[in-house]
Amino acid sequence: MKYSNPKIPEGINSSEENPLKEFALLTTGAFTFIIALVFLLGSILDWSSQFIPFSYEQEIAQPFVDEFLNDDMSKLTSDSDLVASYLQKLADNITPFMSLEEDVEITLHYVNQGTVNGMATLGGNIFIFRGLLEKLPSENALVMLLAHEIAHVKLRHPVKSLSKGVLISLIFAVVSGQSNSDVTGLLSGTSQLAFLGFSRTQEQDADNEAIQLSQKYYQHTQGANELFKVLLAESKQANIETIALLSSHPEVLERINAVKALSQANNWTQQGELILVPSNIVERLVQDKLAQESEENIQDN
Amino acid sequence: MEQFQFQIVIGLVLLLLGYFFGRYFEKKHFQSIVKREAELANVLVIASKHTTASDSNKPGMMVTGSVVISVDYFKRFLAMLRSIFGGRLTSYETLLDRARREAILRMKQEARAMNADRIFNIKLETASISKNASGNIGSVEVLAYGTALINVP
Repeated sequence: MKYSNPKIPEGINSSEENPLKEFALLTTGAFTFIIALVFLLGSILDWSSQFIPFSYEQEIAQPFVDEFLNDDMSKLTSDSDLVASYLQKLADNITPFMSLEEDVEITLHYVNQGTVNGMATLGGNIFIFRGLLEKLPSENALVMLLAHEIAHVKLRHPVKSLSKGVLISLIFAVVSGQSNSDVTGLLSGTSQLAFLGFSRTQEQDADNEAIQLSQKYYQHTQGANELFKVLLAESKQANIETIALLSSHPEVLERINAVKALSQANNWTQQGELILVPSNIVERLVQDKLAQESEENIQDN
Repeated sequence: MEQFQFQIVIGLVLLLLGYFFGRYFEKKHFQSIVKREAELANVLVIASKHTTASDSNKPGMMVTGSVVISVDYFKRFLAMLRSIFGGRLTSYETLLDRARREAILRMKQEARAMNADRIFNIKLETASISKNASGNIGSVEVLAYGTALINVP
């Protein structure tokens, strides 16, 4: 046998093909598949969550609500019942106009923190933060905010989004048991995107309910405009701009346009008399803020 | 959700870095490999165990060549996608081709340095080094070894 090592042609054991083609193909495939799957499962869960009785929600929520209220950070004192009972009274005034189911109870909580936020969770528990309350210029805007949160409860949004979250966590647990965390990272990232789509729809639906309530309660929708003006100002102050696709809420301008569109379609008055928030409440909020700031100064020093 | 945006941007930057630098180094490496294969063409590597009659009197010694090459982020991502859909992992195939040829070249270089021009009974071994926490390979090592027959003047 005569040995030799001639030059062997390239491209047999390796591929000359551009990997970008493969990358594009696989990523679009994976992306589409995951989004389609999440969308399908999400829609099924949306439909089936309505059969979970409201009493279950209340039972599940109670320990978390208790924990939240007893948490150091909330610093609730007996004086803050003033604001909480004011909010509860307002809510009780507007719920008859919102055609809630019989077993649904709305409980308002006032959270003495500077965060500009309001949220509705399981069991009809609604938390309004001082930071947002401070910024509302009128009771009309506050009613619009409360109506928006109550609409979330009415439309069972908390239980729907939590069930979707649980289902996806289950799927992760199965998938991550089988493969590496990069795959679960891809799955989690893409499904988050799909969930944001659901979230934006929910927010807009809640908006629509709240605008209708505004009209029924005051015979005009200016409260809605007031609220969104505040949110617009807040969003302009935000440090990082989030593009619409990656945001959990519709863009504020879109929400403002929705008010206009809905009012025009139904011939509702968009402007009207504004009722102010009672002065004792406003004073209480200012005092709470000062108290918190001075306590933070004491802690810092 | 701003955090999510941030994560996406970082992911994309890493992918781009991995792709451009990865391709650049790969191209450079392949060019170097082809050049050195031409230079070392007269050092023969033979997989057979048996030497020829004329060679059997020469002194022999083991020569080795090893190389460790790292996987870049782009290759790893592509491999991860392939692990879902299945199929030929071309991104790793080029990596291993490079590593194998480099290891053989280094072994040949050792042999030439010892004044040998035939290496018999060559074997190759591949190992993945530094698997990271999620079980992805960090880098791959190829070891080539064989018996070199030294030309005694």
